[in-house]
Amino acid sequence: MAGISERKAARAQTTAVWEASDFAGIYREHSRAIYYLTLRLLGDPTRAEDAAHDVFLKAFRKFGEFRGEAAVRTWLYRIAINHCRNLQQSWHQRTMVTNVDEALWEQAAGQAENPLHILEVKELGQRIQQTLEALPDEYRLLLLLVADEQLSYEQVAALTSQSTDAVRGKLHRARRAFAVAFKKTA
Amino acid sequence: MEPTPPITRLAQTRPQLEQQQHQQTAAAQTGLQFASPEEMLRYDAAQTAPPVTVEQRLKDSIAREPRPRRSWWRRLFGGQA
Repeated sequence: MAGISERKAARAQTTAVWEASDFAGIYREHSRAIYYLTLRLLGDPTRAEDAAHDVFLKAFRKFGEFRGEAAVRTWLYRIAINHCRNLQQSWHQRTMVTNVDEALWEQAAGQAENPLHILEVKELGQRIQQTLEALPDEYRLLLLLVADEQLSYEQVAALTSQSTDAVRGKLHRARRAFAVAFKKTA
Repeated sequence: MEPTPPITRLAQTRPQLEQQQHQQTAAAQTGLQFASPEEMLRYDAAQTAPPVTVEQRLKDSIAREPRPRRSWWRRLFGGQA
């Protein structure tokens, strides 16, 4: 019995520490976006769960150094992108198409002008994952970041270390590449 | 005593039921349409919640962490840590 009450007390203390930190609110506001990014970059729910945990723990450790010069969302995305890149490099197991000839996507550009259409919502996540994995790394990341309406093009440019003009140009190609690859998953 | 059927079912006439079934079939056949990949990704993201275990694991991890140090400028200017 004493063990149970001790565990309850420890759990209550953990919750109290969590709620007392400013971090609980940050987690609530941004966890969905960060988890989604890790899920789609890593392609595995278990690894994404671990990664999301590690990203927020890193952010907590660095929270005292955060000066508010960037938006919190951008700051968290930067940690998440670096963390996922490190994981992917250390795993040496992903065979992403990273050196795709852009002409390949350009040839099929006509197909991409139509809206994206799906019949089975339940398969959407799986098809999106397959599509993203068929894209070059930078297209994949660009689309995921631009899809977040809280990020401006300037913030996406800063996160991907390029100019806003480069973001706009690549985004155009990334959209077409996505549409072409998505149709192939049907 | 016989169980009472749901009121909504009783209130519906056969044509109404047929129309409802037709609409459901049409919705299933039509599916969803997205104007852009970003729109599709936003929809997907909205359907994808982080597992609750992430928050609990994070709470436990943070409880084991030493309190984060306040930065020099926060100590100097008295901001909230």
